[in-house]
Amino acid sequence: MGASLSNLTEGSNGTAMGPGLGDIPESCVACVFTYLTPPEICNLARLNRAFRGAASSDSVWEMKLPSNYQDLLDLVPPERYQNLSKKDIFALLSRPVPFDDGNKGCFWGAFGVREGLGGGYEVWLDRVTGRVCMAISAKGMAITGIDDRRYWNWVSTEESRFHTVAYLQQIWWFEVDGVVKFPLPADIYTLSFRLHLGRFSKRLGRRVSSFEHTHGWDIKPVTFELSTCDGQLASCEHYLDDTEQDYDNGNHKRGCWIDYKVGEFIVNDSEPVTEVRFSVKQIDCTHSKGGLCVDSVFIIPTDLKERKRKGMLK
Amino acid sequence: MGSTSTKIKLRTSDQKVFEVEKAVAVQSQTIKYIYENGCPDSVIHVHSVSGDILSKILDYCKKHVNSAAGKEDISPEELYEWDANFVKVDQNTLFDLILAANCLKIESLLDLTCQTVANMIKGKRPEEIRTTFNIKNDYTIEAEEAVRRENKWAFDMLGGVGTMVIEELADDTMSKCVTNAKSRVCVIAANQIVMMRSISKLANKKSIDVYKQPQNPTTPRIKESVKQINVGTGFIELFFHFKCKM
Repeated sequence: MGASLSNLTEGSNGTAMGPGLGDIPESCVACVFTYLTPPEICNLARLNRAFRGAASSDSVWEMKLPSNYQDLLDLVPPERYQNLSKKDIFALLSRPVPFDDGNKGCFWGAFGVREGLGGGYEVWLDRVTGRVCMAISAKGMAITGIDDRRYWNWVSTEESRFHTVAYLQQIWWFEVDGVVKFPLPADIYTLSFRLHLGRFSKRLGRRVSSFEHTHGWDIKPVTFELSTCDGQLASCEHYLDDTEQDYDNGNHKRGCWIDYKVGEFIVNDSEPVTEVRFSVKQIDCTHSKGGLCVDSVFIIPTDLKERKRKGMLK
Repeated sequence: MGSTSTKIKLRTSDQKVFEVEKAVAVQSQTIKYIYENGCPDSVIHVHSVSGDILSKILDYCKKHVNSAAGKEDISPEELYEWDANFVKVDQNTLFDLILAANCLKIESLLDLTCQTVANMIKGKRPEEIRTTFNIKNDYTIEAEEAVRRENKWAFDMLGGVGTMVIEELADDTMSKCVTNAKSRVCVIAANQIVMMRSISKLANKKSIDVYKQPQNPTTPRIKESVKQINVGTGFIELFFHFKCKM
């Protein structure tokens, strides 16, 4: 039957209490934990010592980890996760884990973090649901004309998790392509581009946006696309800037980071490895466009984006 | 006489005897095992369960058997509601049900009752959980602080650099987000609030402006005011009240 967290309930006035939370067997406590999120379980560790033990048990945390968590651990040098409890492994993987997809193939594996070209891929577990999320920096994408400083510049900023964004001054052929290959666990994922119209800076402690280069995005929409190696496709079009008619309410697309949802794709299994290609383009060369920051692409389970606080862990 | 009218006798810890249909009784894997492997005519003893609790459990089993067999015209939503009412009991009864469901191996009932307990835990601070369940705190202040720090990683709300995700925000509700005290906060909510302020400035303000950014970028942003700011150790609680419909 297993031990119970007994002797932990105190009655008032010495009355005989019925069973309480401290008296149910470990297997039942584990059952309760399946309905709690990792932060809630960590919260219980503060109740008392016995709960701390129960809240640290490997069997509880094994269930919170994705089934293929070893694939994520492979991105980390082995010495960092040897001898770690499952809870500590969850904690480790809930911080962004960089991985190097390489530009041409997949370099995930037991090699640890690699310096070099590309880079700018991160994967992590959502703390609340344990689902795998991913971010790909503009640095890891193929941007047409990125090497020409008349068109593009790299800007350091703390507003990006990668600390760098690509700023487009002006160009006719706007194209950003990316690809990622990773053993994502089975789920439905949403892919989105994080873009910012205008450039931003800090002046006297206040954030200021400037739109000196921003033009052309109200003439034609940009096309977002994604495709997977198993044939799933999604695409959509958005005007990145408001046209003059929309100005009545003020221009709402400028000066803030916007996540443009490209679409969703389904992963049925972590094997075979998922490969996703994504792009954003505006290649109508009859008009030039510019004044845009490209930060990153996010691949996040769709449920997370629309999560309601129901407390059910799926 | 068909097998559906076979009855099984159950005797509880307080010597009460219940006669129930076999289909209902074998919802319990324990009873099923005993019945199939022991002598089906004698009474089955359920030592650890009292009459009151067994009575409730048999109600549960009967309801679920009847609904599954189509004997009762009840929709899944109605059954769900019935279950929700079933667990509206005092704590003692609830834990008795958990112990009994565990002992009798009635998986769906164990899930239901454990989920109920989980719901009583959610959203509460440790002190509140202790009060709710009468749990004794055996930590020293230093020890508790050490445990808090050890688990801090679970509460570092970083969705990205300086961003955090708020779980649930519905219109017309007071919603709360807790953010860690980094030097800069950019809050992007599940239904799209964008706010960038430095924490030190937040701490001195009575109210700040928050912009609700719609998922569809073509919809205008809506400005809302944060009604209340509480600064605690290492976190700031912000209370939002949304009036506008998206």
